[in-house]
Amino acid sequence: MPLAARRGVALVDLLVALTLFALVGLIMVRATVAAERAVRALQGSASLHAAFDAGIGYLDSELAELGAGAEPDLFRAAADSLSYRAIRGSGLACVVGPTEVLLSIDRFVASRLPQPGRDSLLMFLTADSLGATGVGWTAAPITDVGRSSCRGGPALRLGIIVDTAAAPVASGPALVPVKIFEIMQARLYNSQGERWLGARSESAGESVQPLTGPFTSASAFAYRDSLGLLTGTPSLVRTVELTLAGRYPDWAGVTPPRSDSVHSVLRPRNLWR
Amino acid sequence: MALNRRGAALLVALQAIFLLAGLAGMALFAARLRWSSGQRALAGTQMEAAATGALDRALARWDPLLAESLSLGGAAELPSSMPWSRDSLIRLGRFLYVVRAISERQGPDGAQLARRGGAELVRLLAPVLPDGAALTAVGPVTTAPGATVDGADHVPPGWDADCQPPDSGGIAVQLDSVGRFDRLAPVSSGELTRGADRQVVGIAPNLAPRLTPDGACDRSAAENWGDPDLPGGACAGYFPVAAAAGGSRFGSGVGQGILVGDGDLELAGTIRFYGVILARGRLVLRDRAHVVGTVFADSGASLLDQALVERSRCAVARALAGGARPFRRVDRGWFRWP
Repeated sequence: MPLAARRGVALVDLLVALTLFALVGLIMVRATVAAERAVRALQGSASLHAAFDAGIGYLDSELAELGAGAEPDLFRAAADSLSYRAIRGSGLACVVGPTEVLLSIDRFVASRLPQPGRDSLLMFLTADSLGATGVGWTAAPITDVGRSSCRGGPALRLGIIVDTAAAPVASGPALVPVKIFEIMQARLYNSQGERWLGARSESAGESVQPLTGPFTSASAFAYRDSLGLLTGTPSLVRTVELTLAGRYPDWAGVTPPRSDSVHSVLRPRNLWR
Repeated sequence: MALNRRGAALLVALQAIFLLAGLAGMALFAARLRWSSGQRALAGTQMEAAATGALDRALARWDPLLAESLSLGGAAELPSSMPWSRDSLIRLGRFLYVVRAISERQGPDGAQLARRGGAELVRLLAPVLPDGAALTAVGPVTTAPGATVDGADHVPPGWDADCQPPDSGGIAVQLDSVGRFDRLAPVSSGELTRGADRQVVGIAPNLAPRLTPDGACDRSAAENWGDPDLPGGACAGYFPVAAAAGGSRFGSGVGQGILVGDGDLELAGTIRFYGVILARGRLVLRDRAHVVGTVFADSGASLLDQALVERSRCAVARALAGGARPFRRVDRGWFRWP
């Protein structure tokens, strides 16, 4: 083949190749942009669902041991907040007196050590007889915490104040079931135009700390009684419903944010049976 | 020239292969992480359900003999139907217990995938009933010349070790104005009936104690209503709660416990019963029927032929204590105990 002819073909080859590269590049850019949008949307959705899960998981854990009875553990049931006894530990006391309780360490489980001034004690002090119709669980504030021993093993000594006239301390069972609790409030509150789920210890006098968010104003609590009817009376509540709604950006403000929501029904085992 | 072009293509191809292999490896790693996370979440849910089910099962299959055998503060393993669940019973007081269930699952490598635990406070309940009369009735009581209602306090033969000395008071027949059946406390008649160990409709079986092949009391046998004749025997401490539908009839055998009749009740033949009988309807005892304890009949009673009712405070006390069951869940009874 002549040399001149081969040069001409090379120029055409180059032009064709450049055109093809341009076309392929354009397609690649569009695909990359589309993929980036999809990834950002997925990230936003995943982030929102993680916030949903965090809120639902927190409340599910906090409300798991809510009790009913003459003195229910739910004190306030509003659309934006609820106040309740949050159990921080459970165990068996080997000694219960009017001023102190000894908890066997090997029969005590807790998320943290009891804190005087913040935590209180629930003791099952019904008289240990067949026909007893006594007070059942009796609450007493914890005044101090120390170490002791009980039945040859280590024990936690909790100072308490209990009304011995109302609670049959002496006639209770040999091992007394106890629960340690603090009074908590979970709250949906607004901050800088967004709604957050927060919590605070009412018994410790704390202010609300954010737990998860941000959500939209459609987020709310609802409560149902044993018949499934909506109620706001704490003693009638058997299920707690939590609706969380939120938005996440689609593509740097090019399109409107997408919305998503979740509705969760929490059935505390001691209430729902 | 041609060789150079082939070399560049090979380099590009190798780069592409490495890139694809890297991407595939990352995808596989991410998938593996998600799979592990999913496995743990699944195992956690399964173990939560297993622990919950174990507690419900332990309450539904309450073993009064095992419970009574525990000392205060003592614990015993409960038979578990699932290999990953360990259930135990702890005695806190005379009538107070804790059932604990721990469910745990390991992965193929032996590492713990999930562990969940819960406990349920159990309080045994029984109706509180007076034991001052052999027969308490609302409505007419007729007694045939050969039948007897004895208000003296009797200690059943061989029961002395478990009984207080007999009292000197007591009356044979006490007439009441309001029925006992519908005002039982702290356990209602409905709770007693629903939680009964035995359900009788129509003709009851011939009552007789039954043992398992290893010599334990066989609580699963419908005709086994305890053994009042053999103190110290395997079934001596077994006092079942029995619910009989209206019109039920007992004809033979021996048993003990609490018998609740939701209507008319007839005891005939040679039957012997130790404990408490409550009949919402009319109670008829005929032939050589023999009751030791106390009887409440809310629509009158007829004692015919050689029927005999003997008052026994001890039989009443033992039947009520032995018939105590977790008829009702305790408020705040469930708690986490991992």
